[in-house]
Amino acid sequence: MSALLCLEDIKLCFNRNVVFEKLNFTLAENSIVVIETGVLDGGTSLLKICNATLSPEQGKVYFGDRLSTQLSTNELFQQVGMQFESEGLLSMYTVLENCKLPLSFHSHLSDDVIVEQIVILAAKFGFTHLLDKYPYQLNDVQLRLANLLRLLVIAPKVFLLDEIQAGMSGILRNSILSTLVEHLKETQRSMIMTITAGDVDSFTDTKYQIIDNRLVRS
Amino acid sequence: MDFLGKLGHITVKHFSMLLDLVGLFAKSFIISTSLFSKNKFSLFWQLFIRQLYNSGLKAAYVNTIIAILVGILMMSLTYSILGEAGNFIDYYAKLFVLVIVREIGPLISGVILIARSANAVTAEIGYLQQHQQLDVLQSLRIDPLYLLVLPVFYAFPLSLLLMFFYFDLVCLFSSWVIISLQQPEIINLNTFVLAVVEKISLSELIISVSKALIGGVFIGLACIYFGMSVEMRFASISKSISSSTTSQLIILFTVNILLSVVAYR
Repeated sequence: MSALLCLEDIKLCFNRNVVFEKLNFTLAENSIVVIETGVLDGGTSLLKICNATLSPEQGKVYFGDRLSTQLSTNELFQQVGMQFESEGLLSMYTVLENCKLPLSFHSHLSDDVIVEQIVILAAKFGFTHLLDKYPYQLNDVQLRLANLLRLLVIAPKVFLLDEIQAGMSGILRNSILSTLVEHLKETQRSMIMTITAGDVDSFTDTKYQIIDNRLVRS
Repeated sequence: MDFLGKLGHITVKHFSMLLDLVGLFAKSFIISTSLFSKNKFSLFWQLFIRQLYNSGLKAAYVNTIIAILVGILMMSLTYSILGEAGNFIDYYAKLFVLVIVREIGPLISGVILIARSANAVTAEIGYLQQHQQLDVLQSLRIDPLYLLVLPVFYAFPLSLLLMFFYFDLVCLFSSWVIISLQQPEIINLNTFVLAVVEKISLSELIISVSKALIGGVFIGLACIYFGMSVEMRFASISKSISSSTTSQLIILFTVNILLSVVAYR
């Protein structure tokens, strides 16, 4: 399996606080990786670095054999996408419009085709009831699910999920995770998911932890 | 020394803001090229119409009330001084063009735009910034300027222009109502309007349109600039709104007075 995403010698600091140092990581094609995070140990920042929306002080991010900085916005859009742990939706749009926005902006698909794709995916994951809601009408779990739906619609090669299991009931968690893993395998996508204590990780190919500012396989 | 230091700091801050506004202006033109894409244009159009509706159409009622009041004041004062003059309508038409069309119309319309719509836009963008929704757009590889700047960049000048023409019309109509009530003989509305229109030269029209367009563009850009400057801390949005309003009022008055001084000296 070839490398889809590669982090090389990453260093990230906030003021004098070192979050990552000499961090290396490789994500293979069609693989599912879980990163167990603690409190304020940089899980979200790591995903943002993978998403090329946070620049580290040092180090390189590769997609295949190309540096993230060499990719156009359109190429990045196809390579990687992120689900946000909190907020993450635009308040002026409904969930359906939030999901439509990125494809309307980046593709030449008609509105009808985009909406059809959204409706099919929403039905598959059981999110149909969220489509006509505005973000303020959703609780934190529903917000994360709406974020996930948008990511499913975009369908980048790498899915970055930030603590998506937080706050979910056991039944909902199992249902979402099994459908998601099956969907990723069907569509040949890879995923990095951050989790916290108590979250499920049985579906993963590889599990990491953030220890001493680095990723350590566990 | 402390005073000089503060003065220097304020000067540098304002100069830097001006440069940023010019930069935003240039960037708005550059990203406008993406409007040639059908899907992007359709996204823009939705937001543009919403902005035009909010800043132009919904401001009509306050514009109407102020225009009626100004028309009443203008006609009452003029009539009390020149009411006995033989060619009163002619005098009034000259005065109306000089005061309302050239100066008061664009200024009052601009103040209404700032008070009613620009503040709302600054607050909206500040909210998006404070809730990190601009980061979300960046994460979706959508330039936040595209969704936030372009609709305002085009809707504000157009709104101001429409508000300004509307203001003049309502003001003219209310003046006519007052003179009709005061004069024993009936003055035809057409004659009254034509008397005023005849006094408006092409250069006056161009200057007035320029005031609306330049003023509208920079009022809009100031909203974006201050909205995006919002930080995470409490009261940052209200601070941005008050800084934005101050700058917009300075911009509006400067643009209006500079253009008048240059054009009508």
